[in-house]
Amino acid sequence: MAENDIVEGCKHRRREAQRALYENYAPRLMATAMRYMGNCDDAQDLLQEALIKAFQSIDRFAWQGNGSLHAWLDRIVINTAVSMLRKSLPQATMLSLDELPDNVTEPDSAEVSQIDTNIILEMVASLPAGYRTIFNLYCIDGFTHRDIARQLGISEGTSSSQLSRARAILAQKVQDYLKHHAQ
Amino acid sequence: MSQSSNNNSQWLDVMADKARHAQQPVDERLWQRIEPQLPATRPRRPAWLWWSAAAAAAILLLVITTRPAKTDKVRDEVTAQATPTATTPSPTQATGIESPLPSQGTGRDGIKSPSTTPHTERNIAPVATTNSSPQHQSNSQFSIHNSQLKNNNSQFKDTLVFAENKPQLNPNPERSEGSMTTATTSPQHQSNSQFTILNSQLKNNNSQFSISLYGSGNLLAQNSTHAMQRPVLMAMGNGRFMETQASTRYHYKHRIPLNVGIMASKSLPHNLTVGIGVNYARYISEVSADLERFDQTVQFIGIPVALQWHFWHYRRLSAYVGAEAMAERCIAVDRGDEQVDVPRRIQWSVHGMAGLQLAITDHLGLFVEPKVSHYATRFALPTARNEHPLTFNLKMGANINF
Repeated sequence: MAENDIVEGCKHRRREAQRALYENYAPRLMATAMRYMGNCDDAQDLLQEALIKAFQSIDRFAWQGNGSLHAWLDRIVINTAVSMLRKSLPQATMLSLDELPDNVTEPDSAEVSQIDTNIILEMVASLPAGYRTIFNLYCIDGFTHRDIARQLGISEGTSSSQLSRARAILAQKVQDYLKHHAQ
Repeated sequence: MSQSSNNNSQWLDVMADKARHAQQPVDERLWQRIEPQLPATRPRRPAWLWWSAAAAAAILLLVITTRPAKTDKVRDEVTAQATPTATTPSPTQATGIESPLPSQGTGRDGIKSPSTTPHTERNIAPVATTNSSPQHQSNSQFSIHNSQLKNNNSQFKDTLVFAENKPQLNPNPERSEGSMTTATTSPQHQSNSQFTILNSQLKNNNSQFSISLYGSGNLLAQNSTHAMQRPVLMAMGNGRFMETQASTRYHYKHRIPLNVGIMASKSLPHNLTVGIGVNYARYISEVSADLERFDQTVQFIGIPVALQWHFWHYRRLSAYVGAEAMAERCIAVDRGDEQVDVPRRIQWSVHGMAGLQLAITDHLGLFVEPKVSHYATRFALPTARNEHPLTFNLKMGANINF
């Protein structure tokens, strides 16, 4: 079923169109949910809530060519994730400076491209919740520090510093992975 | 710490690109959990509620406009007290023929001499004749003018017209206190031509009530399109708030707001009228972003309190100025088919108006009222009143007088 047909069908509450949307987009949305939530159970709960919200508000969606539906669904998943995480973020474990990896050499992009996508997702998911959220929002989903600060209720400086720490941790994880698999 | 501070590190771009296109298997049972919660049909708004309200308003209008006037009761009582010794007037005598003779009758509490009442006033109803003899018929004819009743928001004033040749005030002060005694032509006919109107009735009539049904819209078009940098609030399932993607630019095209309401007014001395009512306001905006198109509907219920001063009367027309304050509360916000929960703090506004009224019948009048409004409290979502806190409105409606 074409994307536009799925949209129109969902707007008319046709069950086959709703099912087609779920089957076509749920795996990609699940990956997004995994990035933000860090574990499968929470990601499933997030995806369920986001999809119900999407089906309920599909009338608001204006289809603008192939890919626009996924972008819209992805935005709903991200917004729902931020809403769910915002409660726990102030209490999220933040690593102290002593625990941060020191003198990490950032990996080479060619080496990173060799890493399996699922491994990368696992690396991102293994970040502490606060770092993970900011890394996802900034590096993967294209938010600015100003947007992140507004959504999470933190200062822009906090967002920026936590991103730096997230990058350092992630770079260390990539280096460790490459080193381990090179052997 | 990282040795690099370059935010555009290529390895991060590669990682992000992989993450964006990643897929993860989904538990098949997830669909089974989602499916029962999907809406099967489009939500329908309860149209029956609006039809019921419209039917009730129509019935109320019909009943009020067809019920007998209070002036008829006054008139009947006047007739009863004016004919204790008189013979039954003939049908032709009871037709309320207004005497062409000038009258010197005076009165108080709204009872005026016909010499001060223009003869252009309409004699709304026949009253009675009090003399049995033909030679005294013209002396005892009287009628009640209530042309000023047709001024809907003005004070109720009965104008009692005597068509007697030599009317005199009753010199008895005691009776004058409890009742209004007017003139007679001669002592032997005093009882025939005297009639009494209870002061209480006059006082009641001075306290005229009216109900106004109105609608209003902005004089200035609000159909401007602009982008909102500020993200809008969206409600989540648990009732909490979150902002939509902050980088989204929403364009709001505000339609002309609609206000309808009902107001009960009471006349005060000095041509003042005070009123309180219920106002319903509906603000619809067409919202668009890069991937979304929907209508945002914000509904308010308000309690307006108004004070008006009627400074000019001419026949069926009157003009007034007034001021109004209103406290409103948001009752519903719909964005598309989704109901949104927003902070529902009280919205305050003040209004100034100048209006013109036209009396159609004794019970029904129309008015048109340009007004300037200032909305002092900002609403959480972009609406026409947020974009233009100072607006000009045109209010039109009907008055129903009791």
